[in-house]
Amino acid sequence: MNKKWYKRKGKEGDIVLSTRVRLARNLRDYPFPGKMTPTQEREVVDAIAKAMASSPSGNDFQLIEISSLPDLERRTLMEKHLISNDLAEGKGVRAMLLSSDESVSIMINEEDHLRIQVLGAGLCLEECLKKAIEIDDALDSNLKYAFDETLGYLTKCPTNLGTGIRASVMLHLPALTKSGAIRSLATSVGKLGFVVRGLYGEGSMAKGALYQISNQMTLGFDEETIVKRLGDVLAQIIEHERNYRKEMLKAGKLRIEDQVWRSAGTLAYARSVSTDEAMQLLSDLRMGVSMGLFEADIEKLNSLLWEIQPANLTKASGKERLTPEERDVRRAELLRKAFQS
Amino acid sequence: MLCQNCNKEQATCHYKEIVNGETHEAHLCASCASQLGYTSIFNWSPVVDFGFGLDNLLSHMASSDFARLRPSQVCPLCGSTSEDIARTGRVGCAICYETFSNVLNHFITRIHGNTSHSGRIPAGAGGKIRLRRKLDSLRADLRRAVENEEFERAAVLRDEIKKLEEEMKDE
Repeated sequence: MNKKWYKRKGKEGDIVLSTRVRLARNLRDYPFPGKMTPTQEREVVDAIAKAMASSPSGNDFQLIEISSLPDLERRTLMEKHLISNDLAEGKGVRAMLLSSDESVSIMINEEDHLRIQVLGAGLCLEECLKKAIEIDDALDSNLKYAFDETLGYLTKCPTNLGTGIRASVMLHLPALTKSGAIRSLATSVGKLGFVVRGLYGEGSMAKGALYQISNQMTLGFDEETIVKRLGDVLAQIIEHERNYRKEMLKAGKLRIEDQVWRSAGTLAYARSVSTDEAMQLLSDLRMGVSMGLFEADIEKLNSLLWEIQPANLTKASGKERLTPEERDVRRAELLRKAFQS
Repeated sequence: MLCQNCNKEQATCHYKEIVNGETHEAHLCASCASQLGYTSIFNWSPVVDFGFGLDNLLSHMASSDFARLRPSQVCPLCGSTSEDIARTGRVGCAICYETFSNVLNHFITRIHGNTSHSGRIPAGAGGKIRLRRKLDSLRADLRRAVENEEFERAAVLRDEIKKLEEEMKDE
């Protein structure tokens, strides 16, 4: 239980890596991020930190000043999905409140004043929403939110108006990817108001057959309904993925088995591995494990997925900088250590 | 796109290989791909169009809505102009939603449909709204209780409604 969410395997863990629910909120008395003076930006960070400190769970949170954090540290947080690229690379005074188990990350002065994020292993939409609402209530009693009866919570981008909720789930869909069905899936879930994206958010490509699926509609439905609808869509996607995997096994088990074991071989013996290649190899192995073709700990695979990312790899080396070539060598070392036992 | 190898069939297999920072791409039809040894069934993925460019889409939608706003307006709180919002598809502050409500409402309808908020309400800003919603749901409960002849429950509900109505008056 003490393991961080990003090192664990949760419900439907053969396909679902993690779940995130975020609520966008703004303070009534300040312009939105990008329109504030540095003094105002500071005041917003302080006001939110103070509101959190005086809430019941305040002691559990640590304030991290993102804008004065070294580049490497910011990227490390981003690769673990604790902060967004926008918060890591943005301008102005930015901060985050992080809970001790790293399952709650509140971004301050990202696109909105507040982005309350709750993360968990596997499929856990309801639990994440419940926790997000608890945090929202705790902050709400000490802050004045920008709100309109018709438009709901006011946000910088009109696409987030209303509930300000974005529920997203990270999925591993190698069989749907391989068969090409992912394309029609992306189109049809789009018609239902959901979006499919690559691992690191907007515009990022799906590496290692990893996808994020999230709701797009935020206005007109309440939080529970939005989350429930996403859950319904996910249940179908998960079923499709499982069916496609079965079909693939029927059509040519030897080819798949061969590919999985080749990937395992590369992971165990290669001397230089790029991030993209490592993600693909881990993806093959992950699928092999869930098809019963290979034995490995899914939790270990989940951890490796971010440990092999450039910033986390560099940080683990204890150096400030590594060249891409040095990183590839270190990545291969890390993977060998993990798979040669 | 035609297959790079035979130049006859449609390229349906797209390979991208990055070795030491050097990218190599291949676009092949299925039969050439297997002939050339690209037999791995995992090493390719169909090109999925993820980057549909929310920013572009929004600003395009916004500019067509805001083009009708003449003369240009400025938000008194944050100084955002209608051009700023048209360019970015984003507003500058909560007051912008009032300042530019004419065009923004149209814009919002195009994004979300003709609808209004039905989720959570903040305790601080939404005290009155909360009371009103609570009152609505109590009245509905009361109607049901009477229909079902649950008179004891109806009496409790009636008192609760009365109390809330008093509270509303005081505010």
